[in-house]
Amino acid sequence: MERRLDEHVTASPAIPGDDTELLAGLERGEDRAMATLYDRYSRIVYSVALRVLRDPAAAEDVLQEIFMQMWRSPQSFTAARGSLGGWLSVVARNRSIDTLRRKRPSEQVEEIALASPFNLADDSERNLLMEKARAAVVLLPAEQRKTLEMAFFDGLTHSEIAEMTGDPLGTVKTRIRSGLSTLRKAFQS
Amino acid sequence: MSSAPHIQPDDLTLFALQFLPESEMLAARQHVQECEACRRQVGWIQGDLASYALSAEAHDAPAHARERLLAAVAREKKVVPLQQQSRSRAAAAPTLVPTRRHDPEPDYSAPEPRLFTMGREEEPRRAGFWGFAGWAIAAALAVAAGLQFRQHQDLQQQLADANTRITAAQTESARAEAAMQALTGNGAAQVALHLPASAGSVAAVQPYGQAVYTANTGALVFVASHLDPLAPHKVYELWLLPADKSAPIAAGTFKPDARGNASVVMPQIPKGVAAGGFGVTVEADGGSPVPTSAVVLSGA
Repeated sequence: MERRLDEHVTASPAIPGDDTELLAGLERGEDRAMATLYDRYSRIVYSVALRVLRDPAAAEDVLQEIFMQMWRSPQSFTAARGSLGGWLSVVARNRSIDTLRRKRPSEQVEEIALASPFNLADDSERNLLMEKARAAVVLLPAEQRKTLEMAFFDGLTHSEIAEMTGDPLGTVKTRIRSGLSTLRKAFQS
Repeated sequence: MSSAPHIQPDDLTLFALQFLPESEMLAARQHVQECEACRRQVGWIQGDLASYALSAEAHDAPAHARERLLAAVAREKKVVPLQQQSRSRAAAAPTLVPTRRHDPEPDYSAPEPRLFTMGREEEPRRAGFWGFAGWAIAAALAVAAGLQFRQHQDLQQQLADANTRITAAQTESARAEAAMQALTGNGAAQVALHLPASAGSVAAVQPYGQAVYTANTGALVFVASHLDPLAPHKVYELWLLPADKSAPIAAGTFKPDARGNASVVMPQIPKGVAAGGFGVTVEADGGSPVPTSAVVLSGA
């Protein structure tokens, strides 16, 4: 009997391919699809949440909240929104900021499809992009880098940043946009 | 397509960062929903933000977080209607492409007439009492509408949660009834599972399992005892071995308790499959679509 089962044993499990397929699996209630998506994206989601919240327990709660939301409503995470990994990283940031500010979850912006040329579903491409992102951020002009960090990871609004740094509001807004624009060019080069 | 003036790029970035005040957020959101050009720009900004997010120092989530999530998922098992199953399978076919490698980038640098402003940098206009009163009433109405919208959303969420709980309770009840039928039905076959001879174990108390299976209904109840503890991130997985010698069918994952006892009750398996036997392997958390390790229990 064990020989019969052993005949079917493979060297490595056949993991179903792309995110669309896995999201369809969630709609069918397949917990295996959930496990695969978690293995693929938990690191990104947790890292972003931890960077914003600086509290491992709170970051873990955000991680759980996002993946449970994905389990309950996979249709709201459809691939029509663009790169699932990229979208999850933005959602992780927004949920973490909501936690930081003790706000209700805001979903207004997340309804919009995210345009990204990168495939974060692929392990090697994901790791490469993480390295590339860190390298690109280091090369940003200091003011842009600091302003972007305060806005994205610290969740400070443009008005709060202007108040803290003494820079004009318009300058802060332009720095945020220019910083993102510079990053995009660095990624495309 | 919106006929309203476009939102300035700086303000679109603030919109994507969720930094606009609530009232401006609503107006911007409405415009973006109607204006394809602005929606595309927000999509690109979101893509930039996603790229920037990757610069966060990488940390693995704690090991127990995965178990916590999968346990929560198991508690919220879904009941998926057959129609939806076939729909979602069809949707999984090649229709969606998650990445866009060749989308043209919108030109952020192109000057756009500043026809739409978010209003906070403008000099406040002086208005008389009636003008002020009008704005106050409009603001109050906007706040009231916002609150009502929130309440509506909360109620919708509560209703959805209640429906989920009711569905879960009904599912549990149906499973319990089916399990009872599997254990007592006329067509139920019992299979004892033991350590394979090749395992060569000399332990005084060896692992043991018992499966009760009714082929025509696909009802299966499996209990095991004296199981060895699992390594972290591992689960036992039960396999149904079809009598026609086709590929094993995954019949659920399980972990033993502190005394080595475990069970699988009514896993989702196809109906009408004649069983040639059952087997158990050790797999990674979440299970595997095919067995990947040596058999630890088997029986025919």
